[in-house]
Amino acid sequence: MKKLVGCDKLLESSEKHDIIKESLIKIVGEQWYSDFPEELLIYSYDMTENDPSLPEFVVMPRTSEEIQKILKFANETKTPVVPFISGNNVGGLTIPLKGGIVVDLKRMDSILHFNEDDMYVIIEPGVTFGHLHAFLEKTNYRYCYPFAPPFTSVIANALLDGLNNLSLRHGSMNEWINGIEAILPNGDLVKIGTCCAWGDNYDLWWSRNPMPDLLGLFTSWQGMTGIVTKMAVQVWPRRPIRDWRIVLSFNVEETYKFVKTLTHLEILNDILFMSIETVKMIAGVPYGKAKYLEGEPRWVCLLDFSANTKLEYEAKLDMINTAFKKLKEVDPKANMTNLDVMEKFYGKKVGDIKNLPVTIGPMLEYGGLTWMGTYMTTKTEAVVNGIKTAFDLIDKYRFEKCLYSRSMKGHHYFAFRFLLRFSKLQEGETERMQKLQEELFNSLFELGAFPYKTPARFAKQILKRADPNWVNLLKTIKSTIDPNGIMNPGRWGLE
Amino acid sequence: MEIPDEPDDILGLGIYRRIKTVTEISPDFKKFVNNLNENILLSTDYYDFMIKFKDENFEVTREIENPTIIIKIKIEEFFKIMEKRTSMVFSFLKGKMKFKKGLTKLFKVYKLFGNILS
Ligand SMILES: Cc1cc2nc3c(=O)[nH]c(=O)nc-3n(C[C@H](O)[C@H](O)[C@H](O)COP(=O)(O)OP(=O)(O)OC[C@H]3O[C@@H](n4cnc5c(N)ncnc54)[C@H](O)[C@@H]3O)c2cc1C
Repeated sequence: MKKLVGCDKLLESSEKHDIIKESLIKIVGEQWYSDFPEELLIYSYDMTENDPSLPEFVVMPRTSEEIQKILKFANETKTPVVPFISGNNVGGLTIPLKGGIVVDLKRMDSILHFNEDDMYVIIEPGVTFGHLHAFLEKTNYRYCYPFAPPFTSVIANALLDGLNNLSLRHGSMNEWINGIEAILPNGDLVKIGTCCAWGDNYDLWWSRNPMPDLLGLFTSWQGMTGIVTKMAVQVWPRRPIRDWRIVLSFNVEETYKFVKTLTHLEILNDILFMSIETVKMIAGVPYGKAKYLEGEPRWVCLLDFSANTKLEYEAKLDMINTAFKKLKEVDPKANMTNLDVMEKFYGKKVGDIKNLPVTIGPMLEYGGLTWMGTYMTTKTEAVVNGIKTAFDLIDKYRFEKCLYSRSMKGHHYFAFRFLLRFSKLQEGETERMQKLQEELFNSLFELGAFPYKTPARFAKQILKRADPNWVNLLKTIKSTIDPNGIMNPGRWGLE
Repeated sequence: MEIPDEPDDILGLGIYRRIKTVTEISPDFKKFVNNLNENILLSTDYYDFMIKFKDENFEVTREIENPTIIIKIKIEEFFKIMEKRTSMVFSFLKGKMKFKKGLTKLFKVYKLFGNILS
């Protein structure tokens, strides 16, 4: 492991350290404070290739009031603050680049309210996809789930514009936020959405319209503008019938056209477009061995659809079959089957796609996981070209070509991403991954792909290429809300 | 039975895991494959691969050598059987599953694939 940034600081400023320690303990209690090196170490890195950096303190508050006090104090002492829940963002976003206090929000894990009429749930930041799923199972409503482990935070992913198995219908996760309560860096508590008028009445957090939409001050800011302490997220009626189809195919352009055709029919919950390597990885093929082999189908699509009645189900299936027949005319060896057949052959790991949220073990077993995750145009040339470019680069650096992409919001845009396993234990492999990521970023950005959950080093490069007026606006907003630059400093290429 | 390495190809991996699962849950099937001693070549429209049964071991591989049974089948037909849209017997009778070698061992093949595909 590289030398940890933050160690020197920790030794140099022991007096300041003691003052901060005392104040933090006063706020959260001794039990919820730590500066043990062993515990700090846990917060200094994540699964990605991003360099580690140590925090100086970790606190686990329970209430909005405690967070107000922490931020007020941090602001006065100009101490960096990093909001943290489970650190599974796959972008190094919780690594404390400038040390300071990690505010771990896991203890704030209540589901505060369920409004069935307006179909939303108010949750705290520590509520995970697993929690929410278990809660909604007892109702007739559903939320949406990423490919992420069930112990990751719903609020964090919504704030990060995450994507999941209802994104084809509804877009990225920030679009389903009705409103939030947040603590600004100066300790002020703000409410955004209809709750700005009736914040104390949880039954009136039904929308963020019609008023200037201030939610953008928090989404995709990676914790740089404050800490969100409550969020109302929309849920949807669960349909009684749900089913999946798997399509194996060979021709990239025709497969992508098939994806497009299906999205335009507006009958699916979700459609994934993957390479065979991704399926092998999910099925548990060990790291380094998930490769495409001569004669195998090159592409795999997963279609997820649901219906209220048997008639609706059959009509949808009929449309899927017709679209597939068209694909087969031009890609004759393409085949379609259901997920049960795949589960029978490859086991529960593949069948578990039906049971999200689940931990896809084979992605995490090797100590290193990262992605080049982007949102991009749906243009066929861009996607096909992007795949070719990325595959060439991944080959060059000898990693696995795991394409895992998805149509977003009725195919208005495309989630274009490559999941990349690597081993941190193997000498030089992290550095090799960093180089690959650099090249992937540069090549795909040119093709119109914008990295989401943007790691700091790509953000810096984006700022250089973006419209200067956009960059100035970004800086103005940041310095207005957070004049002392305490919130997750270093993110988005801003100090 | 000795458990060999999993194959890396997508068809071989599926067949390998399926045989393993069924042998784990069915002592009858385990006994049957332990005594099979055949090299079965599955010739598909994707690619060819072999299931080799020998001395209570089995292996699924793309290295083709000395097949004692050769079956030709399209993956589409394979899926149809799995989804129960057709049966093995029907596929065979309609010529969608053909024996290129080892027709006399029809019963063995029926029992093997009947278990794997059921
Ligand atoms: C194997 C795997 C697969 C994944 N697949 C997907 C996928 O398919 N789709 C997808 O969208 N994601 C996916 N993810 C990413 C992941 O699920 C999300 O990014 C995650 O849910 C964020 O939750 P977290 O607990 O990890 O947040 P953290 O990593 O702890 O925090 C994320 C960011 O949000 C900030 N933050 C956290 N809490 C707050 C708060 N209360 N207020 C303000 N800022 C805050 C943090 O400072 C940080 O910048 C995957 C992750 C893994 C490991």
